[in-house]
Amino acid sequence: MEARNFGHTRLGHLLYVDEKDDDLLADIFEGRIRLTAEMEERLYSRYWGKLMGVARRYIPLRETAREVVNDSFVKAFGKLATFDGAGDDKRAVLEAWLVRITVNTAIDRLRAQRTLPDTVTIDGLENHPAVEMDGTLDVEDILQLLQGLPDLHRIVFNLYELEGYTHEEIAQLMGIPASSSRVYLAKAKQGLRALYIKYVGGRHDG
Amino acid sequence: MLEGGTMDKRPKKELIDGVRDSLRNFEERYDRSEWEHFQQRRKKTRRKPVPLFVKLAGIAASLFLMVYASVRILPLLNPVEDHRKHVPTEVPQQREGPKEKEQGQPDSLAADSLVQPVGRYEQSEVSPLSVNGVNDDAVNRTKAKETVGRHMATQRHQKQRAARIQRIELKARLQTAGLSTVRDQNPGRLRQQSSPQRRIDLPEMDGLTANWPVISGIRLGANITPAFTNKGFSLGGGVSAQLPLSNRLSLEVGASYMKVKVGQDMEADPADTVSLQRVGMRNAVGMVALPVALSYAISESFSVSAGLFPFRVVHGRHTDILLRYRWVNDGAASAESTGGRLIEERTRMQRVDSVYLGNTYIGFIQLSGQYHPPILKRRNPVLAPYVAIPLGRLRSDEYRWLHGGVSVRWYLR
Repeated sequence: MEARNFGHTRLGHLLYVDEKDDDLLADIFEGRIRLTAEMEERLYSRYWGKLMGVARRYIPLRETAREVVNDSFVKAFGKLATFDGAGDDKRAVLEAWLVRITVNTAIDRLRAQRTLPDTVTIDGLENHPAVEMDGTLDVEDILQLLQGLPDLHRIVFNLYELEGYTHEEIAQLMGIPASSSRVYLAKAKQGLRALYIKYVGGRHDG
Repeated sequence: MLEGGTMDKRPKKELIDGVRDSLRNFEERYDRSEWEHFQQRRKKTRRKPVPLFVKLAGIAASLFLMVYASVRILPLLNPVEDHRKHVPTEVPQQREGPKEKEQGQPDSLAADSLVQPVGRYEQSEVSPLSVNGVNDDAVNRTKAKETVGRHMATQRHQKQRAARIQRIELKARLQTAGLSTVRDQNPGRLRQQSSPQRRIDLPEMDGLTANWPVISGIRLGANITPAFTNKGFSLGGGVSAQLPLSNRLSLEVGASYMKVKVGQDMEADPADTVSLQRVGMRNAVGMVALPVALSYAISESFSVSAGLFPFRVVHGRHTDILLRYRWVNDGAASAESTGGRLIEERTRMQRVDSVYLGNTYIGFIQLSGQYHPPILKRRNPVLAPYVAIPLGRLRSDEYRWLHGGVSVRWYLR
């Protein structure tokens, strides 16, 4: 592809996702390189799997999770030129940014849906302080367990345990008190344990 | 990444830790069809851009409304119109004077109705030594009318008022039309205007009236503009509005679409008879511009203008001119000749180009002369030879953006 200089914008570069792409990402963040369709596709193929994994933690339906990921990429591509990607490891910075966009998009989608999926009532379940996990459990099983939680519990669990948010940050993001976030987290863990015992027991029984 | 979404065998751990570890690095396998899904999704969610012709139509409609409003609405605020309205109402009243008198209506009522206009008129003629000014003079005039006779006074005022209205009309025409036109039509009257009496009337045209000719003088026009660059000819066009700022100075704003062809040529290597060589590049750039220019009238038929031509590129097409040298054996060659000749094959390869597309530029400085030819005067045609000098990024671009031509314009008014 032909590379030309026009003003301060360099054009026509492909994005190579390897150890050398930090400079290129820095150029993109600072608006020196315009994002071409080829670059977008490379970024998309590079990060789609990661973001899909994130989205599926929040969204029970796979198809909806895919829409969330695509919406997140639309947002990201639109704002990539204005993103302040400060930091040495540009790839990590970009990934964290994309994950954050996906999380926010997923939460917005859950809020917009309003019709919450059926969940198992966990209040009446027995409390288990600690449960050992069966090594044969695969990711789909774990996702199924997670989807058995009420939305709010699942979101708080994901934000705290997997995204690394603090309770104060979760409170700010979700518009709830930090103490409620702690309660929801505790209930989510309790619910997971209860669901696991019920799920594994049912599977073994069946 | 977990291939196939299956966790590896690992020692038993607490459930929550296991969930966290499993999901933290979980990625789904990417399939190329996802990119197509994404593009479809983006296409669906992307807001449709407003078509160019809709934008241009909007600008044209705005200009038209501006001109229409200035012509139709603002004259209602014009005091000149008020004077005209008063004339027919007052004159019949005075003609009916004797009849009213016969019916027993008091003279003072008729006299009072005349005080206001007479006073305003006399205000300009009264001597500076007069202390009481308008009202005293009006009272004196009323007394005089009572003694000399109502009919004589009425006739005199009618003549004075008619002359005054004529002067006002002439002055309005002088400010809206060219001075020379009126001079040709009213040579004697124009000389009257230079008399001291004309100077007395001037203050009455202050206020809103003073601004009116400027607004009413807006001329709406259309233009066709060819553009010659060093790489070809292209055409553009648009609409514009000309706002007079003074007798000689005017501001012209408009909206136009123009296409400019730029490019460069390269030397080919005749020794290379194998590869396809690029010997030229052309960029045809379509732009929507909002030109602004200041014009100065040197004479009645010639003016000069300087303006800015900012634009946004809405269309771009790149053409590569490719050349291949080929050595062809000449079948008719004699035995002594080397038996061949070099021929060149040129091809053109076009593609949509995004180098300039979507960018906004300061554009060009446009220097122009404007000639009003003495033909089709009712259409106000103007021939405007111009040269456009690139500014900013275009100035340092690898292509030469300098261009020129002769723009043809028509004005509706």
